[in-house]
Amino acid sequence: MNTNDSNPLVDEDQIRAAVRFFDFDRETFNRGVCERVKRGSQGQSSITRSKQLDSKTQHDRGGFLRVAASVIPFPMLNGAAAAAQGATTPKTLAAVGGVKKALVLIALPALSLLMIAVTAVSFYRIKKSQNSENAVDADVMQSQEAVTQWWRQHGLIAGAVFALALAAGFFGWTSALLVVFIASALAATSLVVKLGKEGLINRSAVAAYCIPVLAFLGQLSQIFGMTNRTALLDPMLVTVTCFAGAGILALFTRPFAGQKGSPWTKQLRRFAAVIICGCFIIFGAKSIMPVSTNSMVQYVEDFDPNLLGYWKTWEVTADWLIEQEVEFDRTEVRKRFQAAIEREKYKRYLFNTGVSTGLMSTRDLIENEDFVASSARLLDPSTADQAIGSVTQYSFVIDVLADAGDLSMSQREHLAKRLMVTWNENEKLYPNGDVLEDAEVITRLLVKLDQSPEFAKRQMDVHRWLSKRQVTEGARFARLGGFQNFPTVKSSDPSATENAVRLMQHYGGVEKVDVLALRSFLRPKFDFGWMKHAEMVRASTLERLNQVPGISKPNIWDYLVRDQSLWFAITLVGLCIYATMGAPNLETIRKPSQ
Amino acid sequence: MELEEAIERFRGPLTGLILSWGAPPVDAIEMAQDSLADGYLQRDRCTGDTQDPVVFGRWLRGVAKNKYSNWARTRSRRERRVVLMAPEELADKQKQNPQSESVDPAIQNLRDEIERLPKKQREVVLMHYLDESSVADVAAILSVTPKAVEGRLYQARLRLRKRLTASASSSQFVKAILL
Repeated sequence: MNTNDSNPLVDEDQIRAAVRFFDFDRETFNRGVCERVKRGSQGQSSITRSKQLDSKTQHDRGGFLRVAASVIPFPMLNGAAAAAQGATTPKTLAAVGGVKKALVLIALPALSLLMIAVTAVSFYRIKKSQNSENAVDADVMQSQEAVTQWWRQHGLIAGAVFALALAAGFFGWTSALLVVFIASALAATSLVVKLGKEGLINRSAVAAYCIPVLAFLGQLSQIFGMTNRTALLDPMLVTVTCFAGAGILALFTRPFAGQKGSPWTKQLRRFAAVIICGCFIIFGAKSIMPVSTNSMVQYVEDFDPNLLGYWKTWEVTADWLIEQEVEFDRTEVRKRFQAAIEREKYKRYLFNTGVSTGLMSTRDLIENEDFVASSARLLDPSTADQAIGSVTQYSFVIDVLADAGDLSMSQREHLAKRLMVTWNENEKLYPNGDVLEDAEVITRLLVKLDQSPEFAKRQMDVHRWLSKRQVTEGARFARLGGFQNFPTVKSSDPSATENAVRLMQHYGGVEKVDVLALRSFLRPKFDFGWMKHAEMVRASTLERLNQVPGISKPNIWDYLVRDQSLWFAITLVGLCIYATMGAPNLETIRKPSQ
Repeated sequence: MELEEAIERFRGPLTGLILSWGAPPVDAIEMAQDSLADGYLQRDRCTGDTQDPVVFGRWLRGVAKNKYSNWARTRSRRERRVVLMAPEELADKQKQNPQSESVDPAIQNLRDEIERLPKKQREVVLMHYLDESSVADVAAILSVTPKAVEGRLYQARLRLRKRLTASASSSQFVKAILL
């Protein structure tokens, strides 16, 4: 071959000679095609019939999806969330009637069925797309064009659904996240089917779509996690699931293959995506682990009020450990407690904590001026018919008097009488007061005094307060199911909830309380930093709740109903992984044969 | 589009396209025949007008791609199996292999350079020159304009010339040193 030719192009004859390196006989080729067509034509009638049936079935499935999407009971979901709270929300159910009520009751099972149906159909359609006869050259640029085209066609609808679901979350529509996941599954399936029809399915293209979608949903679920007020498991697990899916796809595929940049940059992006997803997983998966007794012991031993902690919240966990006869070292915490007493101007609350948790002994207080004066006022015979003002401030006095064993029977009866006057007048004098805390303190002091006056009345009062003070609807970003300190505040409080559970321990009344909602409020969450204090109160209260007679633990159905978003997030992630890993990897199939 | 016309138009481009994806020649011909037959028999499933060569060409490319993907999957499964073969049988196979025949080194050199061409240029070279197919038919299969095919062919020939020249210069330089 003359390579020094002045022609800048290679001669065409040379190329022809080079590419004809095998016997390409036109007649043989034509004959082969005709024979195949002939063979195929003989069975075509049956093939055509089966294809038509297949096409009809496919059309029916498309119709089914449309019907399924249309039966999402959008206006009723808020009621459905209320229905999930069971018998404690009669007002919500009573507000709607007849057919609407029936719709409310069937809304959740309908959503579950819809969830299963969407997943099953999505898997089927993706499988069908992956095996499509139309699969053509999966060029990355063409894939991107197809994705862009899909967004042009469906982007407005998808965006509207996402925006509405997002807005609904802010207005307390707790099932919004579920709708977002359903919409995402439908959108993902639609896109994969579109790519399949265009013959553009490849692993990189599907991964490049799925990863940002999962990451977006993960971030979205963080916002909705604050509004999900009925879940039994931490909604952060939804975020973890989404980021775990995105991380797996980033790790095992090449999602940035179709983007501009050097291979190094692409690898760096992929590595960064995996790291980010890993951080979210580590951060969020912490709530899977329940708070152990050891961590409670460590918390009470290391407690430092300077880290935004209150001795009153510390007392809740310490009390629980003492009741369970779990030993903990008080040496360091006692020093901090003494320092707090020296600093504090109003010491009575600290005295309460010190006496009940063993940080202070009876000897420490018996000669205290405040104690001496307070005990004299409490035991004054002329005050027998008077209520004790701010009973929570005097509890340490009665505690110390009872522990010291200096009280006569008449003094015990005198104190019990005053406590009952306080109980009876409390609600009248302070209708918006913290009745649960006062009731809990009075109950505990009566037990200490070995007195039990008017138990039936107290029990009835407690049951009434429990049913009135449980928060089953209210503030948008607050967890539901706990108890409120004051009726004017529409959010649950861990301390009030702890008092309520203590009262349930003493008076029963489980049937008056939505226990699943209460468990939802006490579910594990972050246990670090300044948030640790409230979480420890929740953890010890949950342990206490489990020991209340008549309390049953949630069953599988309860988890299925209340954590639908998590289950659907898992199925959506599975769908994305299936769609991605099931798509052909072009780099493998394009490898030239040796 | 009638079967005969379809075969005449797309026989070469389709085989060349499958070759460019990496299939061995014998398998590429088989797949091209299967694709033409199946594409013709199932043309009712194509949403476009199959009388239009551009639509039919694109349709054929899809069918061929699917067949190639299936073939590639089964090949990877086959490669995982260890096949024991007698030495005599192996020698016979090697004799039957057309690539084992002696070829002109210059032609072999050109083949190697074609293999090294960028994907888009390699596929148009194989599609166009394998069976003297028209640029329009190649363009129909690839869903691009004939001008784009011509451009790629020009670039491919230019690149081949440069590479062959560079290769020849270096070999002459080596000869000069050795002799």
